[in-house]
Order: sequence, then structure tokens, then C-alpha cells
Amino acid sequence: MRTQWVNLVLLAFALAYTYLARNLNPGTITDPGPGFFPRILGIGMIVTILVIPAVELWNRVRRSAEAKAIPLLPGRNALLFTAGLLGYILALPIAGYPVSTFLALMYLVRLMGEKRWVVTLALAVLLTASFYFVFSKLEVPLPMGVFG
Amino acid sequence: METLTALVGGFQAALSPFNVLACFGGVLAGTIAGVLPGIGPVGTMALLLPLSFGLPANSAIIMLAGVYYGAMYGGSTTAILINIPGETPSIVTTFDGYQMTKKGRAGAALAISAIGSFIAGSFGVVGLMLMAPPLARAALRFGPPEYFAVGIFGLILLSNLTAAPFLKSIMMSLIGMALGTVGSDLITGVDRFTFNSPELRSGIDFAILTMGMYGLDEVLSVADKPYSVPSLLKVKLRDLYPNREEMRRSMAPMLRGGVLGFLIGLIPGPSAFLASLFSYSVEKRVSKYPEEFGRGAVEGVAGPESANNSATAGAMVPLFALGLAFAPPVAVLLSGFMIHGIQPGPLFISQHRDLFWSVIASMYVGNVVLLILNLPLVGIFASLVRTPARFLMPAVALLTMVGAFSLNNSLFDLRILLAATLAGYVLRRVNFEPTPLIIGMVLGPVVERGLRQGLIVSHGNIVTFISRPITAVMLLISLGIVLYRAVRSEHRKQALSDGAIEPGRG
Repeated sequence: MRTQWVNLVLLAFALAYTYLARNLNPGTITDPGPGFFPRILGIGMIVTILVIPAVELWNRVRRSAEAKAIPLLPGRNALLFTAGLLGYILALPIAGYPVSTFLALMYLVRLMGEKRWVVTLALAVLLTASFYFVFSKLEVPLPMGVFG
Repeated sequence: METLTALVGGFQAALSPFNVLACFGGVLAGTIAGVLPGIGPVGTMALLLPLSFGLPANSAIIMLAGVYYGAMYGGSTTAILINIPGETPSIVTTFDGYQMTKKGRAGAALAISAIGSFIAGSFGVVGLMLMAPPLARAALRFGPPEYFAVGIFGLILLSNLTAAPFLKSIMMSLIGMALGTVGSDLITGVDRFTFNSPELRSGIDFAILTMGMYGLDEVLSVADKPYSVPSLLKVKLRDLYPNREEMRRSMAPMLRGGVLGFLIGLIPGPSAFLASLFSYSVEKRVSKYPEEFGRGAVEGVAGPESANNSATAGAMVPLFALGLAFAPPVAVLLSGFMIHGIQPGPLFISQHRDLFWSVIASMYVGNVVLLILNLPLVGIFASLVRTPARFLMPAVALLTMVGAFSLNNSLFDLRILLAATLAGYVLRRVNFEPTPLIIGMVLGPVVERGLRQGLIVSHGNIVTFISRPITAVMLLISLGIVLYRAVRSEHRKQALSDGAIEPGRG
């Protein structure tokens, strides 16, 4: 994946932000409104993100060596890890904290290479319980789902 | 002296059993975070934010501050013993610290690191204690234009000091400020960029972004490349004592590091890291044995380790005096204040005298606790590094998720967390640093308020901004930095075409 993709995404963000800011009232110079600052920011972002590759092009002698093989996305393991976290987020409102956390931990510990089921299980139970204990002791509410 | 009376009062509060426990908890968490790879002080502080809900305000701040300066002690342990820096500021410690270990002087290095951190840390607290109140009084005369200028100045300075290219950091600052505008406008109440979502109406919590870009981000990196569990040299207790020669050579670097670190801490940016770097080069320059640097010079450990500790105190000066955060850990502290209903700003010290002095006193206490933890117990912390990644990473990840959820009781925040994690990961790969983004989110509202209110008060007259001395100076310096950066890349181009320097250098 080339690094220019990131610049493009950021440009898209800047353009979208500036576009959405059009609906906000800029007010006047003596009485700036909610749209005043966002417009400045939006234009600033667009200019900056366009200047960045231009400057890099100026120093283009450096680029040729580096522009090649930077893997942009996380590797397979990290992506699977993230998928597990995403699954956790989706499961949380439905299955509740204890079940979701337990399952997520089981998945992640296995993913990271633990081969022994007993250890995986023990760790999952231990951590789920300790988090619950710590958070409830400090009076922080957790979604309990099935458990009430 | 009024300060002394206040300090004594502070100690009375800081030494209450509950607060000592909070302090201990914080510095312990900080030390562990400093030792372990994949977790840093910022992520840990953000994680402890929801846990601080149930605590009274001063205990909460005491705990959070403890994590911050505690991590500076922990990071040096692995840097010295196994050449792996626990967190960024400890990178400098690996230069000579690990070399000392190879020479069999690991214990001495650890001890000097702990003692230096203690001396400089305490010095930093004194500096904070003496500097914050008068600065706050001076800041009472700050008007909107001054806040606008300070915000801009901070962000430009920060962008200049990050490892990433200047323009990329500026871009991140702008994005951060843009994200900071999401929610209801403070002045008019109008909804901005909320897409009719009730969650977005209250804005995006930068603490969530912090957890994603500093916490989970590191976890993902480790998931990609799990670190192999290193073998650890056993450090015998009697080896802990540096010999007389080493102590003698360390005294001056410790004191220099303390002063230098504090001053650098005042500057926006990754101050602890910069402080340790600066201290290293200073020590190398003034040393009678410069050729030893890189091969186990004790000054190369004493100086930087002291500097990074007093830098944390320096970084807290703007927080207590102005209510502004110029570094992510300080921003999390700021968040801690606000969660407990305290509005930081120039009036903070006068309105919350007890809180301020109890926090200051607790920092003295904390430094003592850390000295005790890090001298005899260093072996225990060092062995923590041997926790396998496959246990640690899932634990940290889930802890982060539960913590992020409980911060605002929001599932929506979890989605933002994940998005921020991935975004942070990708952006880092292409040399966009997250720090300016986080600080942009924090300072953006300050800058905007300063700009808008300043314009209202001056009836649209921008010249008023520049006619005020403080504002003018800060804006001029900011402009100077921008121009300097622009000119420098021009020079590079010129030098390249002249064949004077090699491409790829610098």
C-alpha cells in the first residue's frame, strides 16, 4: 500500500469537514459564529495536505529509496486481534459484560499463541473476574446483560 | 512563609492513609507500565480515569500524577537490564545503562537511576511549587487574545519538536482541532458535525482517542511482532550499591539533569524524552571522559534519568497555572480535573488551595515511595518483563476496552476507540504522529474561544491581537518557527543540488 493513500484519505476528510462546515453560520468578523473557526480549519487542512506531498516531491531524491515497502495495514495477527475486539463490541450489548469479556479473552489468548486450554480458560476467568471486581469496587457500572 | 504553611497543610492531606494508598497505587501502576512494553504512562493514565470516578478529587489526581512520574522510574529498569526501553524517554538510558550492565555494574546503574530520579523529581516538585502560583497570578491578566496566542504557540512548538515532519504534525494539529469542534458550540449552543447523534452532541472524548492511539495501538504492534521473553540477569542486592567513584561522578549530572529537565518540561511536546536527550548531550560535552559515553559512562545514566523525572513536574506547570495541557499525559490529568468537576485555569490554585497543595505534597511522598520500590524491589519489577505477550496483550486490550466503556458509559466510545486505534496505527506508519492531534483536540477549543471572544471584544479589529505584548511575542515566535521550517527545506533543496550533502541524510 502506498503512502499516498493516506494523504488522499486525509484530503477527503479535510474536504468533507469543510463541506459540512458550510451549513454553519460564519457570522461576521465582529461577531464570529459557529462556522467561523471550522472554515478556517477546513481551508488550513486542505492547504496543508496538498502542500505535504509537494514538499516531499521537492526532496524527491529521498523518496525513491523509502517509498516502497512500508506495510500500511496491521499484519494478519493484529487484524485478527482487532476483529476479536470488534466482535467484543458487538457482543457486549447483547451478551453482557461477563460473557463477552470471557469469550473475547479466550479468543485473544488462543490467537496470541497459548496452546493449553486449561491456561486459556483459567486466565479468561481470572481476568474477567478481577476486572469486574476492580471496577465494581470503584463504583463503575458495567453492562451485565444476562447476569442482571 | 505562606508557602510553607500551605505545604504543611498539603502534607497533612497527602499523608492520610487513603491518599497514601492512592499515591502508592498510582506510582505502582506507573512503574509497572514503565517496565512493560506495550503499555505506556499515557495509556495507563487514561485507563485509570474511569477507575478514579469513585475517588474524591484529590485522591484521584494524586493517583493519576503518580502514574506519570512513576513510569519514568520503571522505564529505566528494562532499559538498563535488557536494553529494551520501557517507554520512549528511557531510550537514552539504554545508551550507557545497558553497557554498564555488560560491565557487571547493573545494580549500580539501577541505583543511580533511582537516586537521580528521586533527587531530580523532588527538585522538579519544588520548581512546580514555586513557579505555578506566581505564574497563575500573572495569567489572571490573560485575556482571550493571550489564550489564542498560547494555544497557537503551543501547537506550533509541539509540531516543531515531534520526530515527525513539521507539516505532518501541523496537519495532525489541525485535524485534532477539527475533531475538537464536534459537538455543541460552547458560545452559541449550535450543534456542529453531530449528524443528529446524541452521543456526538457531547463531543468526542479525547481520552478515548488517547487510549486508542497510545494504548491499543501498542498492543496491536506487539500482536504483530510479539517480543520474545528475554533472559534476565539476576541482580544481587549487594551489587546495588554504586561505588564511591560512580556516586561522585553522578552528583553533578543529577543536579544538572534536574534543572535542565524541569525547564524543558515547561516546553510543549514530548518533554521527558527531549529532556533526557538534552541531558545526555550536555553530559557528554562537559564530561572529563567523553570517550566513555556509549560504553557505560555513569553520567550517561545519571543525567538523562534525572532529567526525565523533573520534566514531568515541569510539564505540570502550565496545567496548574494556566489550565493548559501541552503533552498527552498532562491532558489526561486535565481530564481528571474536569471529571471531578474542577475547572483548571489561573484561578485553580486560589480556588482549590487544599487540592493543589495536597497534590504537591503527594508528589514528594510519591518520589520517596518510588525510591523504596525501585531500589530493593527492582528485581521483582524486572521479572515482570517476562510475562508472556500472549497473556499480557489480551489483558491490556480488554482492560482498555472496559475502561473506555466505563468512562462515559458509552458503547459508541468503543467504536471510536477501535477506529482511533486503527487510524493511529496507519498514521504512525506514514510518519504522522498522534501527539499533535491529541493536543490539538485539547487546545482547539482554547484557541477558538480566544479568537472569537477576542474578535468580539475588539470589534473585529485584528490589530488588537498584535498590539498586546504577550500575544505579539508568542505569535511572532510561532511565525518565526514556521518560516524557519520553510527556509530550511529550501536550504536542503539547494544543498542537495549543490551536491553538498548526501540525499537521505538529516
